[in-house]
Amino acid sequence: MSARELPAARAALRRRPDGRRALTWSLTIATIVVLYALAPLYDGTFFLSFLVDVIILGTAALGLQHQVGDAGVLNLGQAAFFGLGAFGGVWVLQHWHWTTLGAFAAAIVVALAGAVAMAPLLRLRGVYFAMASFAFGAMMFEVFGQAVGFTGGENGLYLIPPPKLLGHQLLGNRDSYLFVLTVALVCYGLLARVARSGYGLSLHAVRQSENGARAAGVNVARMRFFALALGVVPPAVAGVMYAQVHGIVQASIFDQNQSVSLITMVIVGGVASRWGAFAGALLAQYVAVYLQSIAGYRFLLYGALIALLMIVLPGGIASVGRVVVGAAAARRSRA
Amino acid sequence: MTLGDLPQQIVFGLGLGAIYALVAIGFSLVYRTMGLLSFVHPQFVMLGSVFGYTALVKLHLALWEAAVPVGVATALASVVVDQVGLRPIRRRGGSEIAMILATVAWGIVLVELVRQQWAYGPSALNLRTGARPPFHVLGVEVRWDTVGTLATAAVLAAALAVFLRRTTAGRALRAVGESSRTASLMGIDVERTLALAAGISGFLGGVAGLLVGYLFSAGIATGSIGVKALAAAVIGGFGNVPGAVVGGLLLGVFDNLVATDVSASWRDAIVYGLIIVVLLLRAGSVVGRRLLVRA
Repeated sequence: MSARELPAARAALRRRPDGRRALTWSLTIATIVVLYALAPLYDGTFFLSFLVDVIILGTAALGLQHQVGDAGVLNLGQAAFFGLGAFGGVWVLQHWHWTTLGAFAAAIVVALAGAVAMAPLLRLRGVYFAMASFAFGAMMFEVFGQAVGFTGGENGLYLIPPPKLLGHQLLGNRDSYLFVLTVALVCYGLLARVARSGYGLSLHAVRQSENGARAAGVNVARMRFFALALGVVPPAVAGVMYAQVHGIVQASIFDQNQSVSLITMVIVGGVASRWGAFAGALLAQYVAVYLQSIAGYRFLLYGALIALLMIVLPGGIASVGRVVVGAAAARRSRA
Repeated sequence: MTLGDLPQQIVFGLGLGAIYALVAIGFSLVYRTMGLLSFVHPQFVMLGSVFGYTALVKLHLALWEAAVPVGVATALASVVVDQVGLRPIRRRGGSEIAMILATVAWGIVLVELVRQQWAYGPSALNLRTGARPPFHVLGVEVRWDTVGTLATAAVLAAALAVFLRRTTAGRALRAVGESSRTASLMGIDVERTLALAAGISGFLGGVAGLLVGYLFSAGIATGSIGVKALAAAVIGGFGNVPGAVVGGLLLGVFDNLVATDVSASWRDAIVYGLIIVVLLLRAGSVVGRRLLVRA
């Protein structure tokens, strides 16, 4: 896409009916207000700690959503970047006594180095990339287990200082919640903004037709790498948040089950939807935490639920609205 | 390791390799016919090991008597998963990602179903009882285990090859692998053929699971052997059935050599690294062009 056509294309993408646009904005703002209002309302409760974990996992899944949903890069080793971020961040926290923002920067640098290491795999197509990325994740998990100096091995790393921003220690679950919520919203906003940039439009073009995009001058290989690199930033940040909020981090968190669980969140939530990543994380964490009463059966239920969802609602939770509206419209037109 | 130990290590590795081969054939068959990377497939090894436990310990069957019932039971499970879980998605023209995730979900379901039975029970059961003493060929110790596993894999692979080449159903299966659309125009019942492919791969996975349970341990962790067999399928050229056998044997030998001579703790990392290297190398060759994103 040439530089001259870009503003026009961007404007075309933004041009929505004014009513819809106002509705979207007011819904977004209302959601943000409600999310922040939960902090004082549920201060000190278990529910708020539960939400903290949901947001951390959702942020990790958000990066994957960008890779899979926006660029079609089916990365089955995302837990590796979650882990790289966590261990990279904790290293500078513990050894160099940096604070949270510095840890974020370090985590992002380490995760990006991982993305560069993974870059050659991007030459592989579809399912072959999926396989190679799965192997990459499995390999990194083994490396985490063995690299005791960096990860603490099986014992993991503990006594990790709580988040510290601009000189303020963030203690207690209300602070933790506000901290992870803010970071998650920033990541979300950045990715939403990026989707509307020239880069996002190019990705959109690649999804529509790879050959068409190539003919229009889009460098597909470079786009795929950018998407991979951008998509490892949120999980890296989420890794630091996890480590600082929990105060402990173990390599076993970043195994292939975690990668699979992240891709599950993305697809269950709706692969084409950014907030779907958080909806998927909410469902997964709800099953893991709140269904203790049916202890042995909860993951059985979860697995069955996903299997069913793929049949009845392939677009994920985020497509519920569209499906319901579509069905209603179909009924009306028939009547 | 001295060079003299090499033949010995290779022989040890071949036994494990035969098991990898059986699982890898299933991966390849499913990919060939359905174009699907199936994450439920490793769990059929797990099911086979558990069924094997029931057959050998509870029902007191001999190993050779147990093979067919265990294989058939696992094949049935595989067909049920395919028809109940995957067929509706195929019919709706679901995306590749939805299919892969559905297999992941069924993997979870199978593991959890088995966990219901054995929450804290025999997760590691060594089923082997009084093995016959090994014999020696040219100074290399050969265990009867190794001979048995290799023979099983050889018989099953040969039977599959004959089936695929000589029978109508087998030819139909290959035709669907080439192009399911053309095959259906030629009057082949594609759905039935896919169910057949699922059944065969389930059977092979089940027998592999029985052997894993007999030689190592049975239980919900056995699926990890199935996941490693993915490497074997990749080495053999994913979707290539004879290649899967070769890949399985190579992986078994490689795995064993790495574990004994390089590092037992880095063993899995190295095997996963091998998957990546093989994929990239194959992609560079002429045959492998189709793996590549066009640059």
